[in-house]
Amino acid sequence: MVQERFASGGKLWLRIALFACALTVSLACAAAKPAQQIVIGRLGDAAQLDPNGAVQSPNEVSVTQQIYEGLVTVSDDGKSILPCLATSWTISKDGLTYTFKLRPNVKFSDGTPVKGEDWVWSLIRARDTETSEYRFVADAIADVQATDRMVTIKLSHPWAPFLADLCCFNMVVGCKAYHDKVGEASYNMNPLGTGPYKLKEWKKEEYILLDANPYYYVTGMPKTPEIKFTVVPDDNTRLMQLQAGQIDIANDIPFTMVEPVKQSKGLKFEIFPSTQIRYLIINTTIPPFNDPKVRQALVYGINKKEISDLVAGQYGAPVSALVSEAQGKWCNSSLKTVDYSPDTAKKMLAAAGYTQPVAFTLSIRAGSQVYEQIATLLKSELDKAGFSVNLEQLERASITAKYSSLQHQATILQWIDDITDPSEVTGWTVDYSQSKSWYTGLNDKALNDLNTAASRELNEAKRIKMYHEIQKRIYDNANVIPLFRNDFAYAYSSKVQGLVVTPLYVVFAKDLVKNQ
Amino acid sequence: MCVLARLSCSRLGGWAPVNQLNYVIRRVLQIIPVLLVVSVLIFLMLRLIPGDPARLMLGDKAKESAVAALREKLGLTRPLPTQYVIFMKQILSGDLGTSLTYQRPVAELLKDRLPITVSLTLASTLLSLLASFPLGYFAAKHKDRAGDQAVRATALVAIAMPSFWVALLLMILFCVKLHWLPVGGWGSTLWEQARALILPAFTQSLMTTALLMRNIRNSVVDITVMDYVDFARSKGISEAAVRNRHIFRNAMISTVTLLAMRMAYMLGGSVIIETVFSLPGLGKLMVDSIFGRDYTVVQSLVFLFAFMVLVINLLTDVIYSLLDPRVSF
Repeated sequence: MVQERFASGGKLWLRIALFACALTVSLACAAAKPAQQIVIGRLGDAAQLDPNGAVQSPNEVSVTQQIYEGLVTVSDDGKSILPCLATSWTISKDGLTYTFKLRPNVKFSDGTPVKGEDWVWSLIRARDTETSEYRFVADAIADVQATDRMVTIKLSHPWAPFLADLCCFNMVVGCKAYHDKVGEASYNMNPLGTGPYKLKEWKKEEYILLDANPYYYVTGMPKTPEIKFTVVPDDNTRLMQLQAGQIDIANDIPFTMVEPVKQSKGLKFEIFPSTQIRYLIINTTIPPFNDPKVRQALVYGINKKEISDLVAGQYGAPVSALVSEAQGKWCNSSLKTVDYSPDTAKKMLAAAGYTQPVAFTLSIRAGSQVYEQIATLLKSELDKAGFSVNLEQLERASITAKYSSLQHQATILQWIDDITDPSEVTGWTVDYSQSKSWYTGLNDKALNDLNTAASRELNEAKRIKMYHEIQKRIYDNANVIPLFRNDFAYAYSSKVQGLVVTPLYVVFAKDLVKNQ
Repeated sequence: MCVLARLSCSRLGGWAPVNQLNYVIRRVLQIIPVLLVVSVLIFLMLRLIPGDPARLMLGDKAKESAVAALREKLGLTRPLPTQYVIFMKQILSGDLGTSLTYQRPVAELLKDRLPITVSLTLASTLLSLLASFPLGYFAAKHKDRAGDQAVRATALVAIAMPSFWVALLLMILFCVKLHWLPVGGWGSTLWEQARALILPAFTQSLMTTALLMRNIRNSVVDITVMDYVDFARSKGISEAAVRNRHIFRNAMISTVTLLAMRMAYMLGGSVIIETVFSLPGLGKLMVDSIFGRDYTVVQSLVFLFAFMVLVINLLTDVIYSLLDPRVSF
C-alpha cells in the first residue's frame, strides 16, 4: 500500500517534471519567436501618403518608403544603387535611353499584378504633378514605354544622376487602375504599392499601422508582420515611452539625451552617418553682404569647431564643403575649415574700408534648440571679429516668408540629401531659378552653367572634377557657409535588430525584427 | 455689472422660467453678431501676418513654380473678399471647408479632436472640484493656523510649478518606474483612454485646483463673519445647514465665475499638456495650424472657441440664478 502510494507519488513527480520541461521548452520557443509588432515613435503624423503629394517631410516619406518600391534602390551605406523591381538595366551610349528588365510576378498589395501601364503612368505622374515638391527628379524624362517585363525611359537630354534620381521616394510604381477607381483625393490617403507593407489603419495624429504585404515578392519578408508609427511630439516623452517599453524605436533623439539613453537598461543608442549639414545662408543682394569682402571676413569670424562641439559633441564635425562627406568622392575634401581668427576678420574688414563694426541681423527659426545654440555662439564669436550681430527669432511661417523673398540678411538652414548624387544640393545652391540660389540671391551664370554641364556629363571622373570646382567656387563666394555635419541618432530597445538608416535618412522596416 | 442688471430685472419682473427662457434666447441671438465680428477679425489677421501656406506645405526644397501651382490649387490667389465670401458661405451651409495642411474636411479634424479636449477638460474640472472644495473650506476653518498655511503654501507651489515639468515628473514616477500608467498617447478602448487621461487631467487640474481653493478659502473666510451667518447660528440652525445654505452657497457665486473662466481656457486646449502627453487635442491643432498658416482650420477653431466661451458664459449666468434667488432675468 505504502509502496503503491510511493509509486503513484513518483509518477506524479515525474509528470510534474515532464510538465515543467515542456513549459520551459515552450517558453523558450515563445521567447525566441519574433514579436508581432514593432512600434516607432516619431515627431509628427503624415499629412498624406502619396509619394507625389504636396507635403513630403520625413513623416510622410518614412511611411511611403515601406509601401512603395521603384526600379532601383539605394544601398545601406547610401553610396551605391541596387536592383529593386528591376533586376538589371542598360544605358545607351548617348545616355538618353534607360532600359530596365522587370522582376516577374510582382503584385500590388491587393493582389493585382503590376502592368506596364502602371510604370508609364507612375513615372509620368512623378514628372507632371505640378504641386509635387520632388518633380524635379523626373524633369529629364521625355517618354516612358513599358511592357509587363520591360520599362524603357527616354530622356530629353543626357542626365547623369538619373539612376540616383530613380531611387528617390517618388519614382515608385503605383496602380493606375486603383487610382482611376478611387480618385486622386482618396489615393492620397489610401496608398497601394508593391512594397513589403500595406496600410492597415491610420488614426490621424495618433498612429499609422502597417501590415505585411501578403503578395510581397521576397519570401520571408518582411520579418515583422506589423509596423506601427506613433506620434510622440515631445522628445522627453518619446524617450520615456522607450524606457517604459511603449515604443521600440525613437528617432530624432537630441544629442543632449544620449547619456540618459546609454544609462538606461535595455536600450541601445546608435548613430548612423548622415548627409545632414547646417549652413549659414547669406543674402548677397543687400548690405552688408553684397560686398564679397565682408562675406569672406565673416568666414574667419566663425568658430565652426566650437559650434559643432556644443551642438553635436562627438557626433558631429565642422565642414567646409557644400556636399556632404557621406557622398564620398563627390565631396571636395580639399576645402579646409578656416581656423577661427577674429583679428584676421577685423583686418579684412578694415582693409575693405569698414572701420565700425559691421551690423547685421541673423534670423533664426524660433523653437529650435539647435538653431538657438548655433545663433548664440555665432553672435558671441562674430561680435569679437568686427561684426555686430542682432539675433532675431521668428516662427516658421514668418522666417520662411522672409528668406524666400530675400528680405533677410543671414539665416541658418539645414540640408539632407535625397539622392546619392551631388546634383541636388548643388542645383539648389547655384540655380537662381530654383530657389534664388538657396535664398542667397547670387545669380552667377557661369557657376550655374558649370552645374548644368556637370549634371549632363557622363564621364564620372570629369563629373567629379566639375563638382569639386563648383564647391570650390561656393567656398570662395561665401554665400552659403557650411557650419557642421552631424550623424543621425536613434535610440531603440535592445531587443530590436536590423535597424539601418542610410545617410539619406531612409529606414527600411522590412529587416526589423524584435525578439520577445 | 451683469449681476446688477439682473438684480434690477428681478425687481421689475421677478424670477420666472419664461423670463429665463427669453433671456437665454436673447443671449443666443447676441452670439450671432459677436461671431460675425470674430470671423472678419480672424480672417483679416491671418492674412495680414507674413507666411505662405503653400510654401510651408511644400517645404524648403520646393521650386517657386510648384509653390505657385499649389497656391492656385488651394484658392489662395483669389481676391480676399472672394475668399471671405466663400468662407462664410461654407460656414452657413455647415461645411467648415478642407484643411490646407491636412487635406481633410475641417469638421472631421474637429470631430477627432474635440472629444479628447472635452474629456480632458471635464476630468480636470472634476478633479479640481473634488480637491478644492474640502481643502478650501478646511483652510478657511483653520484660518492662519498650520493647516491653513499648509494649504495656501501648496496652492502657491501648484500655481508656480510649470505644467510640463510636473508632467515629466509624474510620467517618470507612474509610467517609467512603477509602470502603472501609459507614457502619454490616447488609447483605442474606453479603458485605455480613461487610463491615458489620469496624468494629463491631474496635471491640468493643479492650477485650477489651486485657484479655486484660494478663492473658496477667501470667500468662506469673508462670509463666515457676515451678520446673516451669525443670525442663522443664533436662530439655532445646525452648523451643517449654516455651512451648506449660507456659507457655501454664497461662496459658490465667485467660484462659479472663476471655474467658468478656467473651463473656457481649458476647452481652448493646452498645447503644453497635449504635446507632453501626446494627446491630439484642439490646443495642439490650433498652434500647428497657426504655424502652418492653415487658414481654414484656424478660422473654424476660433469660431468654435468663441462659441464655446459664449455658451459657458450663458450657462454661468443661468447657474447664478439658481444659486442666488435674488438674481433673475
